[in-house]
Amino acid sequence: MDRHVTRSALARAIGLGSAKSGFEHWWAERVSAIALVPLTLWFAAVLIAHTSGDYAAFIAWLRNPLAAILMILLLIALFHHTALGLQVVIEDYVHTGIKLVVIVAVRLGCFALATAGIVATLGIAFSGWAGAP
Amino acid sequence: MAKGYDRSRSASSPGHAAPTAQELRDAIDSGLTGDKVAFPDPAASPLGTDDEAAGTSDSPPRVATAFRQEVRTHAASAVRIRPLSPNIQIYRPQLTSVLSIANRITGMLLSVGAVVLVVWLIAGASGPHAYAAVRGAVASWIGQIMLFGFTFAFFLHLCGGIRHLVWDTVHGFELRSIYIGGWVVVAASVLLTVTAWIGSLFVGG
Repeated sequence: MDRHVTRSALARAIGLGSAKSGFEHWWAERVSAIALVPLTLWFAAVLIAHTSGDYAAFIAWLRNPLAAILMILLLIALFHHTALGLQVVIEDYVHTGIKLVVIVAVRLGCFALATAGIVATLGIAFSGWAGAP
Repeated sequence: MAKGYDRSRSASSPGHAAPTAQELRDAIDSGLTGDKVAFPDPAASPLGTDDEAAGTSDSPPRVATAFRQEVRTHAASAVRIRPLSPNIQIYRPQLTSVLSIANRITGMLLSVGAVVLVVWLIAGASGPHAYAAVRGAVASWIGQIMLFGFTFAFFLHLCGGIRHLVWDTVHGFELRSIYIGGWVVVAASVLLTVTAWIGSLFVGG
């Protein structure tokens, strides 16, 4: 606790926010946001173009390697951003002991959902490769 | 205000019936309200700032209410009660604060949308029947209403997020820029939502 007193004001300020952390979270939120701008716009454009697409058209679309790659990138960025954003909301509004439990649950849930989405995407993408003409 | 605030006069209530927003700001800035809470959202401007810039100051009763909320003292112990910043219950909603909370609300809605996306992908990987069931749910009128809501929430969060990224480059903090940017976000979100749905009707059929 003496460290707080003996160190200079500058030494205390460099690299440390008021909470000694937070920059990493802030930065990750920004990086994922920047990634999501083109990825979500691509996905919105695909949805608009495939509104009437049936099952065969949907499968054919995800068998395209570029579509599968972009979908997986979207899932990673989306759930990373979701976990970070929801954590801030929880930290701001939940002040009881359940806070940590909820944050961990959200983080694990986002990991699980992203993994499930990626596996589903890969399943569809690879289903065409083995026997592709 | 150059001179210090008279604490004894307004320990529990303003000494006179109608304190001004400036007096309340001085009370907060001088520590009379117990503490100042760090609040990092640049969209939230200090009490009364926007209203005064727009030439429509808060009414005296409203400021008096804010004053009582902020400068409270526990009757028995004379201990100041810590204020709850940013005290959203007593401030009139304005574009800045509404867009700030809208960014959070749309973010939470889109979290649900992200779950729907994964359900859709898993259904697609599971086979035609599961895919048809999800398609049917989305195609239902309630599914379409929700999809429309998700569309608007997506564009509002996207445009609001880009506005935040601009702020991160330390640009656009002037009150005028903040309001212009805010209305651009609202207009662009509405326009993009309508365009997306009209586009899907024409392109997708």
